[in-house]
Parts: sequence; C-alpha cells; structure tokens
Amino acid sequence: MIEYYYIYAVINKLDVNSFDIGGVKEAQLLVYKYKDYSLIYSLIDTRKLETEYKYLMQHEEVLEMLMEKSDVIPFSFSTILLSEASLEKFCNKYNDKILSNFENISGTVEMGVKILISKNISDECKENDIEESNGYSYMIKKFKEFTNKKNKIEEIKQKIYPIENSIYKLVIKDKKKYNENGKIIFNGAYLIEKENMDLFRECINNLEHGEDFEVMVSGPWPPYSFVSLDERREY
Amino acid sequence: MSNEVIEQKDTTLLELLDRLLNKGIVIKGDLTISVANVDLIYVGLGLIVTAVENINKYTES
Repeated sequence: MIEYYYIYAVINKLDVNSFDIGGVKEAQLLVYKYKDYSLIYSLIDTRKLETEYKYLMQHEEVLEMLMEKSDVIPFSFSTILLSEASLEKFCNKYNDKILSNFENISGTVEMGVKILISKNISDECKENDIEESNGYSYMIKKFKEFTNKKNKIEEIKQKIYPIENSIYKLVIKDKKKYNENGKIIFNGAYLIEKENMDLFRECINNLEHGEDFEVMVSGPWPPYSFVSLDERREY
Repeated sequence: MSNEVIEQKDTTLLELLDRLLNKGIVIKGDLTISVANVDLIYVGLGLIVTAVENINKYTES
C-alpha cells in the first residue's frame, strides 16, 4: 500500500520524539528533523482528504497539542506530500522562510474576534421606499443603497473602535476584514504574546456592547493568519 | 440579538474552516515541477468546493 505524508506543522524543537495523541485518521504522529526544527507529519493512505469535521478537529487537536510544547508554524488542512524525499526538499527550499516565520511568531498566539449582527446589512441597505418606476428613481434608489452601505460600514467601525482601543496595547500584529454584506460584519485576527491571552479576553469582556450585535472571541489559535512562505503575502 | 459576549475556546466549525482551509502554510506546486514528471506533492486545493458546501450546510443549520 502506498503511503503519503500528511503535514501538520513545523515546530522549533528537536527533542520531541513521540506524542500522546494520533493525527488525522488516528495515524501515528512522526517527526522529521531538519537543522533546528522539526516537521510533524503522519502517514496516510490517501492523496486527497475529504473536508470532514472529524478530520478538521484531528488536525486542530494536533496543533493545539504542539502549541503547548513549542512555537508552531501551522500548515493548511490537507497538505500532503507524496514521498519522504519531498520533506527534505521542502525544508531545503524554504529553510530561510521557515526561520523568518519563527522569528515573527515566537512566543505568540492568534486570537480571533468576530462581530455578528442580527440582520444582513445588504438587506437593510436595500430597504427604501423608492419604486423602480423610471431611470431617475432607479438611480436615486441605487444612490440611497450606496449611502446606506457607507453609513453601515462607519457604524461597524464605530462598534469595533472601543474593542480595538481596549486591546491595542496587547496586539503585535493584526489582520482585519470588514464585511458589509453579511451577518459577520467584522473578522479580525490578532497576534499577541501567549501570556496576554487572559488579559485579551478580559479587555473585551469588560466592554459594554450594543444591543444589536454579538462579539465572538476565539482562541488561542496557532498563528494561522501570520505565517506564509510567500514573500508577497504580508505577515 | 443579545449583547452577550460569546467566549469560545471550543472550536466552532466556522472558525476551524476559516483557519484550516484559508490560512496557514500553503505549499505551492513549485516543488513538483523540479522533479521530472513525478509529482512529489499534493496540496488539497480541490477541497475548496467541498469546503464552501460545508460552510453553507453548517451555517444554515
């Protein structure tokens, strides 16, 4: 039977040899050591892993376990190499970038903040009383939709401001996305020091929130949003 | 909707999908090309369609 190499993460430790848990499909976790770091993988019997909840959780559980031992550069779900030679090839090719990623994320975790509203902004933006009876009315209607949307984005920023203001001292880097077309109006990822996790949550919990939205805090995550092998992608 | 702050260490599927499928290290096919006609690497980009279906399914439920 052909076996493939399912990759979970790179960790900056060499003294890790065995693990208490299995990986995707309960496969044994293995270590490929290269210079100053280790690639964590397991052997699986398929080249294509279906996106099943069980497998996603197994992947994530491996990363959570690794986070307790070391800094972790997480791989995207279902990254599968086809031979052991490709492990070495990968490390050879990306050694500098792996080291640079470790520098960027050392001692940190990622926290997620999502803001959800009860009603789609896009629906709300379309609510106005002008009928599409002619070209002029149509243009007025579209203009009104545009201004409603613009106002809503400003509203989103107003909602987020106190949250960001409360955590900015803790944040090393962030990635933010505003969304005017759905229930999740804001999706933020924040890189913070591991020791500041509780403080981060506390800052958000202590805020008074509006009646019309919810704040979801998640984490700690491995720094998924702040690692890359692509120089064009911003860390 | 309430003004409750939902604090979740429990990994929701949405958060999992958001990170595991869209972020993290992605190896591109350039490792493949350098080995003559032998593909040494497979990255699950084909999963995107499935992922979107799953997102829809879970967000609806």
